[in-house]
Amino acid sequence: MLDHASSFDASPAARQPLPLTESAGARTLLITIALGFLLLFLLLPLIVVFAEVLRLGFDSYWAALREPEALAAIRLTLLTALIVVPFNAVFGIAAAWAITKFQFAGQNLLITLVDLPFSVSPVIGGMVFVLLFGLQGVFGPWLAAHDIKIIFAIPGVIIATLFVTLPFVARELIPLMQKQGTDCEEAALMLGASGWQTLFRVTLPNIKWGLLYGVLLCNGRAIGEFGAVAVVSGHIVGHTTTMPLYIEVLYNDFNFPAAFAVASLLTLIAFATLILRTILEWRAEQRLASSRLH
Amino acid sequence: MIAGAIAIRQRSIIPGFGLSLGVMLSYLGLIVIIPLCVLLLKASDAGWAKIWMELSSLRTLAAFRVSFGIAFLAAAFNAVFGFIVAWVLVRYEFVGRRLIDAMIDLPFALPTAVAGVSLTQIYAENGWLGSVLAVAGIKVAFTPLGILVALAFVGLPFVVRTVQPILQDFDRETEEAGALLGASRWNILRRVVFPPLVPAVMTGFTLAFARGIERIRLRHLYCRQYARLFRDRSAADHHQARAVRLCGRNRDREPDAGGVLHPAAHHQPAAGMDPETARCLTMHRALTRVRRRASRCR
Repeated sequence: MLDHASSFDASPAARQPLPLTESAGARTLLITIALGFLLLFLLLPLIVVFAEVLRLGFDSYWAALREPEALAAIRLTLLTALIVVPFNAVFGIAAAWAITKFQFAGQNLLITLVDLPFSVSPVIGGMVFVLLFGLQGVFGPWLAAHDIKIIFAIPGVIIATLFVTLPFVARELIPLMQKQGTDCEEAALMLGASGWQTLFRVTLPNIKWGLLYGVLLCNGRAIGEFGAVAVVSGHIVGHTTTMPLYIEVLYNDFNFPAAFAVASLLTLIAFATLILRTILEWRAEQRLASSRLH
Repeated sequence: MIAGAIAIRQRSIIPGFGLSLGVMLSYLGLIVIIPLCVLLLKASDAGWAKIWMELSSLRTLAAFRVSFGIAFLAAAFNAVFGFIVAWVLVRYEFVGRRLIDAMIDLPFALPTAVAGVSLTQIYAENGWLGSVLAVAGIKVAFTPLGILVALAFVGLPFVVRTVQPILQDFDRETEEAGALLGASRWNILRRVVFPPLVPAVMTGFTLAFARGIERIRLRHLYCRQYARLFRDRSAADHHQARAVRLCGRNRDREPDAGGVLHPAAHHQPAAGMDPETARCLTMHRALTRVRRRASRCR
């Protein structure tokens, strides 16, 4: 665009360059405002987390993370993610397959239903399971009679997380598979592949980046979920507190160093998620660009 | 059932319709549909009149007014600064642009608990910014202003991410035409560039606003629900277990070594309890009260 401006300037009269962008001063001002705002609102919270950790020193940082309750929280969070992510990934693939490879009545309704956990707020999501499995809930008396604990126990945490993170993979895959169409699968089937062979050899390689992206987002949310899990977990430290809940408990107990030690772990996970996500997006852009060239 | 499904779908040689739809529907039904139906049934059990009474009570109305106002302000704040950020990211080249672009999604990726804790730390009265603001007589943490800051943090990506693609696809030729026709830069911005961007900014504003409302309203609801849950027996159990653990921790740093507590102990320090445990319990109750008040403010 600068080339344009200078080509117009070729006329001998000392004309002003075309005002195609703001003056240097305005640009600098805007960049400063934007960066200052981001520094204040986005970066500062991160800096605080790591500054608190540094102030703590390595030894007490390590000690805070080695507390049995912290270890239990980390273990529970990982367990939740390990269970939730595969379930939702399989669901996402099945849902995307059913919705995109076939034409049938009610497809849009199904897409809306898949999205439902996003439009219901997480706290309601948690409360729903208290209403179902809590002592005064629908299945409460039966569960109590058989001595099965779901609410205020680990199954509740896992179910609530399943609910909240359900749409992530499906939501990534449905538009992607819609765009890819059914040509490849039809060709594979014509050549004599079975249904499963088609899925594993043709469809999955085609959607692997989208799938990875969905899994990444699902995992990030499963680890960081607060609202829904807070309602069903009951905050039993060392048993049903996931890492975000444990941070809140520690902070409210005025145990700031430990709270920030655990928070730093979650921040690192968030960073890793963002970096991986950027790499995946960058790859997708490149593939798009190269497919346009051919 | 499958025969019925085939009748309403177009024929296809791709297999697995029954299986994939079956997996999808059963999973969706178990995790989402049945639970939400139960919620609706329970809500209608309570009776609409009662729900309306609850909603229109003075306290709820006041809460609504506060939360709508704050969420509105936060969204407006985000609309202005989010627009500037999107503009700078799309239009200007500077060092670290890609990095900052990737960081905009941070509020999505960062767990709310971490964000809440670190924002409180920054704006608390002895915090980094809080102490500076305290000199000016401005209190942020545990006030509506604090909620505003938190909502601004949460809502920022919505505005930036809705404005950014529109700005990227913006046809620069209209700007060039404006410039050739002799308009000043400010006039071009005002007459050519901004009008098509207004819908995008409004969308971002609405998304941020909706998110903000949801956050506050549910925090409010959650506190209430929490208080009710405590009447639930298993909740009482857990509270007691927590008290035991707290006492144990304070006594000899060994969790679960706190000895047996009276079932009613978390209400009143019972007679005959050793004074150390009683002291712990009193402290624990005070802490709980502080915690509840703090969580109500956040």
